[in-house]
Amino acid sequence: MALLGEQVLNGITLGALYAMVAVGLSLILGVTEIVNFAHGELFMLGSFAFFMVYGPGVLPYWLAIVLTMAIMAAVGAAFHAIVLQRVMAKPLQVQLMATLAASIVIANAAIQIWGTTPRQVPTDYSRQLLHVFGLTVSSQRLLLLVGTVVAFGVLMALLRRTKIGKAMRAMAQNREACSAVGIDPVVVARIAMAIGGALCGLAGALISPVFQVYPGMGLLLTLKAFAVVIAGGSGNVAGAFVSAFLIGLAEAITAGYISSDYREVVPFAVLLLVLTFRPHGLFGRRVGI
Amino acid sequence: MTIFAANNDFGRGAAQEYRERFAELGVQVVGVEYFEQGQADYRPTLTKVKAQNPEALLLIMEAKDGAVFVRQFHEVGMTQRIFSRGSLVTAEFIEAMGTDVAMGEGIEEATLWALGQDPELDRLHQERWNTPPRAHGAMAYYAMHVLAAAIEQSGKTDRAGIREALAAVSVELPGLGKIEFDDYNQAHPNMVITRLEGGQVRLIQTLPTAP
Repeated sequence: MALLGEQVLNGITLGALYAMVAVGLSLILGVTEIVNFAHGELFMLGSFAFFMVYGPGVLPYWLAIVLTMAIMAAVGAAFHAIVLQRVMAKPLQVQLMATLAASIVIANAAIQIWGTTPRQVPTDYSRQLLHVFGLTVSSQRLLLLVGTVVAFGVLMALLRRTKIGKAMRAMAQNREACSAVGIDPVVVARIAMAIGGALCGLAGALISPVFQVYPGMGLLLTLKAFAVVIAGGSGNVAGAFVSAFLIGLAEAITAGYISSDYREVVPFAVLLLVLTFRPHGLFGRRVGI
Repeated sequence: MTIFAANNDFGRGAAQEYRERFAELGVQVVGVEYFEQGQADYRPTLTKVKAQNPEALLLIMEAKDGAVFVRQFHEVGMTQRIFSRGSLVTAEFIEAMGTDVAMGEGIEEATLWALGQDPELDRLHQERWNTPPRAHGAMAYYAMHVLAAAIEQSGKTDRAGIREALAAVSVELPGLGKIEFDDYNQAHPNMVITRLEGGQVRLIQTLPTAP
């Protein structure tokens, strides 16, 4: 029973890891209708931004998180202006190639700037172990879990209760109608991208202390995040959040009770099953974030 | 013993080889676990292995993954002895662990090259690049030495000439011993057992591998 409890805890913290990356990806997909292959690189940039801000040991952790999110919000907005805005009206193939090319450029620029050696950014929380009901977990992992839930709550409140949030949801439903009633799609998409960037910054600041920072770090996580987003319902932020935890739990239980051989298969097997029986995703609607 | 290996040709091949050798030596292998390179979370597998309680772990793992693994190994409260075959008792691992390097205390590795085997190379690399040499980089450096010796010994610089010269080359390299290629074009450099002690690489034993 204790083993099951520990695996459930592992699954939830793993789910938080995926959710942190997938929620931003889903938001951008919902608002811009562009599959952003460079999202993993934005997450990597967020991690390096955190490394640069927090690494020297001058700023307290909380301030470093806020500063990282601000930097990445600006990076997200710039990414929209330089890449996404230019291909928004272009065919799907052009959009895919543009974001793929951007991801390759960013990854190689990071190699030139920071090199390939992984960097560590441990915090006091990553070294602090908590023992709860016989389960052991680092404070940083719990912080990641709490941070993910809070970030999701704030994002959902923003989407449902603020004017800009409602504009984003309207964009996801009907872009032409938005333009007809005076909503500027470019401004709304740029703000969504800035929020997506800030979420990448938050993800970098919360995940890096239990992982490490290097140019290729976003690849595997983003592949999983894509599976999470599609399984949850493309562009459905709440769906991505829930399916991240489902996939995290499925992975942990598979690794714990079946075999680590099948662990990496699970997210994509879940994805295939979902696409077979629910083509719009587990929580899929035809439109909407 | 539980084996953790990268899910690629190197990891799977080495895990299979070790498994067979352990069986011959009467070492019980409790399980073999594979991971993807760059994986962020080892906790589910570590939790399972912790419950199986093996006496020791063998990690077939590079430094980058090893740094994440060893931190999480401590996080789940495991204390088993760690052996490795990859690059865990190296400058890369020490650098990747940073201030947490004590978590890797006592890891023992069997390797073809280690820091301290060739103090002159260590010194020159440190002076030129301000870092200790990397294991794979050092092996490439010696490969160039072997190539240069083949060219020097034969006096030939064309492709066929170098190939013939490599078949006949005989060169003594610091730490690695005498390098000569057998009928299968395989060299047999010395192996070395190393241990991480006080955040430093300590050479324990050099073992000849020549048949």
